[in-house]
Amino acid sequence: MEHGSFEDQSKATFSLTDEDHTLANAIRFTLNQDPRVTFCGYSIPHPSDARVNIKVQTTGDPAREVLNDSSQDLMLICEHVRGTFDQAVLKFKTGKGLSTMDIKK
Amino acid sequence: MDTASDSESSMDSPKFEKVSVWDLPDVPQGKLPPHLELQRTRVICGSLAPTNTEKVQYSGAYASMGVDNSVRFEQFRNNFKVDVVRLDEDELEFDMIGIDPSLANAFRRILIAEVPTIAIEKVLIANNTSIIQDEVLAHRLGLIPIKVDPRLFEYMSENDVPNEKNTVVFKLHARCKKGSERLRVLSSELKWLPNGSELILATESQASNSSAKPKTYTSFSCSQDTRPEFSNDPIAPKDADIIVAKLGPGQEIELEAHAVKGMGKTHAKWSPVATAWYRMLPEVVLLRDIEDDEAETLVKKCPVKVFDIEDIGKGKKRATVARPRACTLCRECIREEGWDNNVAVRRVNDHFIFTIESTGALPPEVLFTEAVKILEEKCERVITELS
Repeated sequence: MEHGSFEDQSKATFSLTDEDHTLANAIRFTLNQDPRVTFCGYSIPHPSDARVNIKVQTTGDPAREVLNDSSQDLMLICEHVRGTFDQAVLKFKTGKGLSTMDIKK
Repeated sequence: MDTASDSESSMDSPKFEKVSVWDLPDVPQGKLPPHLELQRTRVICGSLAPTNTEKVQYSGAYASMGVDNSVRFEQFRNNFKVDVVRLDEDELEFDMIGIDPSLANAFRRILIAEVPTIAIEKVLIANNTSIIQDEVLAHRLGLIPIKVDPRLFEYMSENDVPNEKNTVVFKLHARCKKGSERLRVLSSELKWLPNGSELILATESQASNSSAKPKTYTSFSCSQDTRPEFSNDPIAPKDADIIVAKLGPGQEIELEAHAVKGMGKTHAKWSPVATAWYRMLPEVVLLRDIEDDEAETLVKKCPVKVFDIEDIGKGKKRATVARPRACTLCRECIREEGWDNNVAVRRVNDHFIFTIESTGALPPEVLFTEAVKILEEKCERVITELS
């Protein structure tokens, strides 16, 4: 859900239900990395509703697009983390497999 | 023509040379001065308190110095590294280098609260004459980790009937004979019922319809052990030696436990990890040479033996930082007046030593990949909601 104005799309607040610091803080990080963003922040209006508000203000581009790109960035980062992690585990397992193997001469 | 050459020559003369501000020697180009670089990449643990604990996130924070603080994806890809330190059945320790704390924390939070597992949710007690009350017994059963892959099951929502896709049923029947010794009821007594509940619904038994199969508390359409995942690997509690209750002579417990899929944010019994935590890599730096007696005192100060002494010849000894990774940041080495001029204790703020202790449903390395997938799904949800 987006709260903004039609005249000025460069600033908007997005309200995400069933989300918390986990996603909001990660998205705030990717948003801040975007040079088009002049301000972004998030808040949880009340601790007993599962909802976060993410506010984005940009240098001119529509805030919706910038948030979309940031989410995409975060997804790419996650994919890369997963790939690298799987490789590292595989490397560790094969390396360990070799060292612990009981080779009889 | 003349005037043009005149102006040209005046441009050439050093007196009027126009230089961009970036070319001036005192303006750092594309590099932060050391004190700012230290602030950007380290948390400084002073003797009074840690300072500089928050990262500078804004991409244009160092624009005036010609430094781009944004992390573009390409750059992230080149810098990100994972290094597994220790991996066994239930525990994983790895280094995650080149990632922002907000992401490391997101993974940790998801691991604790949002990766699903299967845990006992409903307990139907047929008989309980032990001294442990029904509700306490049910709670204890709920906390027993069950070794089953939750990805093979569905969530059970409020209106769902328990079936073979969303429920795992266990039976527990233990009795302590009169005149025998006190009996321990262990988690290994929980027997998996692949065909579902064996308790017949009260309304059905009154009707006593002999032709149809009596209705039970679950409606399984087929046995769970026909599924290839379970036929060779029957579902059971992860640990066989958890004490559930103790029975005195003549006491008995007979019950059925229904386990369903859930998440740690609903109840901690569904959390797939005992703990998942990270710490930033400690960095211990000797700011000047510490020799002889001073070196001895420094080595003695540290309770986890971060420092060592090396011989530098001529009977001289010098302190070295041998095991910075062992540092717990207790700051004992800089507590005494003046010592913070000798030793600096810091943390590298993009290097995380991540530890995952699984409760046993899934191996820890699978848990982490699941957690990352969940964060991806969250992003996907935002993207679909925006479009």
